[in-house]
Amino acid sequence: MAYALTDFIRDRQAQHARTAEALLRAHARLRDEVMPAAASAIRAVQTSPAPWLVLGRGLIAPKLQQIWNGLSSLEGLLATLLSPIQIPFWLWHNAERWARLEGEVTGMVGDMNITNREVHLRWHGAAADAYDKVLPAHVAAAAQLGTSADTIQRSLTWAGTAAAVFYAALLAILIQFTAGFLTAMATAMSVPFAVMGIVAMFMVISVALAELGALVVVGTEVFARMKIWMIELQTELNDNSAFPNRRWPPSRTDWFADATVTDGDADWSVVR
Amino acid sequence: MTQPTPQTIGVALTALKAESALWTQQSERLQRVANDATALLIEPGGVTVVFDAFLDAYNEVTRLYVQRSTDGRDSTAAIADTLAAVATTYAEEEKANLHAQHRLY
Repeated sequence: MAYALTDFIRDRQAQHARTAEALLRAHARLRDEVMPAAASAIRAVQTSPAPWLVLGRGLIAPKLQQIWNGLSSLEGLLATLLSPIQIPFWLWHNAERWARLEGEVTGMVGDMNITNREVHLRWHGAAADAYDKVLPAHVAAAAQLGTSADTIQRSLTWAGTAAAVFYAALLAILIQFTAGFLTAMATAMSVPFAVMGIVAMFMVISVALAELGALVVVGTEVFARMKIWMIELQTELNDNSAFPNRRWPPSRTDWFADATVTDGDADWSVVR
Repeated sequence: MTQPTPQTIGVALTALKAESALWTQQSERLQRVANDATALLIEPGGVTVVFDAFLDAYNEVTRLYVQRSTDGRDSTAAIADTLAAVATTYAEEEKANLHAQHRLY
């Protein structure tokens, strides 16, 4: 059995649901457990009576402040990045709806197929002939709407997948950071290795911030490139051949509205 | 030129009315498409950082799609109404025997 679009989307949705749950849990742990523990650890180092820590406090204090600032920045950035975590679901959901719209508009093209209808066999005359000429523009416009809906659907499917990959990468960074930071913090709490632990805490935060920054840059670049698909679609929907003057083709009813014979002609004439 | 039979005229008028109904169906279809597409705008209502540019462009495409569908609804409805009016005029003039009087069918 073919692996349909809906199957693809269902698989990705299930996967992203797991990623989102893990990310929100990891973020909550960072905010509610790791940060308070870090605050306690920093206070403990700052107030330690260990002579070498007392002597080195002037050097250590700014580093501890940097660690705290870095941790706050990290948590704030994560909160911002996680606020639209539902976006992959919205994109996939809309992709499926656009696929249905494409079916609807394609049905219109089929309905308007001239071979399916009888009026052209039963009538002739100037108006009836003019009416025949009106039809193709509308079929072309409907066909363009169908093509555009299909392209939108494909774009959203891939955009949803790219967004999910972005969040999976974010989760990997967060997991790596949390494990590294907790280890460094435990080291900092053991007096003999406190300085090593403080340096390690600083390094782990710096690396995580750099990785997050790089991820945001790459993600922004990827979605900026995907934006090109949408720009091309805007061009298609403004294309003069399907949508003259950026509108659906005119009805041209003045070409075929004259049905009366009182003006001396039969613009709509029954085929005998 | 021979006069068409009432049956021939009846079949032709039926075809014209069916044609009008077909355009009405397309107009209704395009209204549904416009409504459905409107519901597909994505407005998260907050900062989306990396997704902003894409979502803005997507929403612009969706608005264009809605505009084209709405235009299409009006254009196809006008065609449907005109064809219905043509059928009505022809039927009324046939009933008034105007085609026979003018020898135009």
